Amino acid sequence: MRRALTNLAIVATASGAMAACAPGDTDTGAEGTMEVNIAFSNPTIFTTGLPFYVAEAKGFYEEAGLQVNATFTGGGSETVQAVVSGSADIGTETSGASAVGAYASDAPIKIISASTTGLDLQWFALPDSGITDRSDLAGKRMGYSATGSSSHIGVLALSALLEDEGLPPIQAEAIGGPPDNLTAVQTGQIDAGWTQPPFFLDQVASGELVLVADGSEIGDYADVAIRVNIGNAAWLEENPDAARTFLEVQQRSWDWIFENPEEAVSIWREAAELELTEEVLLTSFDYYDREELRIAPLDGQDVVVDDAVEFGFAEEPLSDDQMSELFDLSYLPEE
Amino acid sequence: MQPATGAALSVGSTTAAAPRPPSGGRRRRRGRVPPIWVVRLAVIGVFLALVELAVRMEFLNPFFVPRPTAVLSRMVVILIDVNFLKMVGITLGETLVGFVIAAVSGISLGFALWRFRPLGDAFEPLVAALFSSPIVLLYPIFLVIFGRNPAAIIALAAIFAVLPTILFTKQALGAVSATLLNVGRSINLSAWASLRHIMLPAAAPTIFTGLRIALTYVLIVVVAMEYILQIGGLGRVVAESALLFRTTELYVSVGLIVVISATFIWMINRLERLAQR
Repeated sequence: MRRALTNLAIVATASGAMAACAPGDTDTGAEGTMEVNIAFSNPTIFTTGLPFYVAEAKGFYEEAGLQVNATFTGGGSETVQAVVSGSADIGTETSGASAVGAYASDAPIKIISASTTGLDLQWFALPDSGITDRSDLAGKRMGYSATGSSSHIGVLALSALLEDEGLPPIQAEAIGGPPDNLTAVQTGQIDAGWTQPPFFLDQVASGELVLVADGSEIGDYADVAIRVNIGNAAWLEENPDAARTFLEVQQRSWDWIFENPEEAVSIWREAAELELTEEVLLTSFDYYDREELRIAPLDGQDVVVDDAVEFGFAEEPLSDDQMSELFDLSYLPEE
Repeated sequence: MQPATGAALSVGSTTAAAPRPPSGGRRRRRGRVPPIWVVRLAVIGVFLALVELAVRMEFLNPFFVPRPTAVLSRMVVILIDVNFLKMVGITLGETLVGFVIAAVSGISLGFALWRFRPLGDAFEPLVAALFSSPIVLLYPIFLVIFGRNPAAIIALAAIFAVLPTILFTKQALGAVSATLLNVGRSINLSAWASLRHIMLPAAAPTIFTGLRIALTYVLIVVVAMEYILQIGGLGRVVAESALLFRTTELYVSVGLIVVISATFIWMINRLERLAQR
């Protein structure tokens, strides 16, 4: 019983500490810089780490008067947790469904912009696995990064599609980022793993891996903001300028990246300590166009909410008032 | 030195009754001091009442700390949910299997290290060093060997928990009083009878201390691995509840893990008393 009491005390203390972590004013530096803490997952990935690394390397944050501190998460709900707890002011590139689920549970967050529009995921397997296409994935073990991530939503959507076709559902397992999925596939822990271009494309080309499914095969996500940028509601209210400036820099970084792909890739490779060659990294631009990485307009809000309900992140659809409170696009930079 | 003292008390209690205080004195003390379980329940009750009050008065954010009454009422609903009970069953099963493996192999190996002294001298420091190392970080290797399934969790938990069992068993047997063993020989006790009536009761308190630590480690490793890997039982429920912001379910699951831990410790204490008879 002493153990029980001790454990209860620990839980209560931890909870109290979490409760006390309310976000406050943005620290303003001596020279008037605004401090913004951001959280995102898998920093090696094109859509997540690249704009941050470029903005840092090119001095875009500094020019805009921002001091940006980044925290890396496991993705999905872990990014949302970081924002809800106040550890981060803004979460970038997180799935809209996890944000909807958190909001439906009264989490103080807002979706402030789109981040990636369209489902840019791919799934791979070993050549001798017997898996060659989507239908072979029925009943198989497939990896995703973290609960509530876009890779989780992708696997759930793929599973639902297979079930609609009368096939057994996929056994989805939280594995981590693409490198973790590769290890898990190679060691037989799962049958297929997820990736985003350009990771493992060289191994696909050499025949070490086979691509077995693509995000474009699943429903019509082409015009849906599959990943979004979110903010802590209290922080946003107190620091609207910092939020707006951050999104401006995000937009500027992507513009610059698409105008200077070679230099961007060089920055990406060095900052993320990637082993892939710059030639391989440059192939990312074959898979993404600038429009898919826009911060506005934020399309497919209804699909995001429907997915959150269908896949168990929220119990019921949001009302119109809730939708307008959650999807708060007032922090978008003016055209 | 602890085991010898424990052994002497344990064995001595079967031969010479310790002087008892006057019965009236015991009654008087009982009259003044409430039973220990009442004190425990009262403290927990007061604590939960304070939390309830703090949440209702908005000193604590209900998003992070739900009302204890909400947790209890949710617990009642969840405990009749078949899927949730399956999760509880998985955690209980993994814990029991892991503990039994750790207990049987740990006591056997501890006995072997005690019985064959050169072996004990050679390996005891190594086992002690392993005991203080973060073996749990080897879980990716266990996943490769056993696959992403409960077998990997059980194996990791058992290996982590076998170490204190080995150490405490060896120490317990090595600390049995030579006087007690000589008494056994003087009355021509067989090896089995000596083990059953002298060694086991004398060593039991220390061995069970090792088993209690082992059980704690097994439960911690099982729940932690379920949480990290999101496979299996209550650890997975805790992870999913946290990631899906279902705070009430989170506290229900954590509460159940505490209850399971307390129940296991109570059971092991009962087993210890049986072994000492």
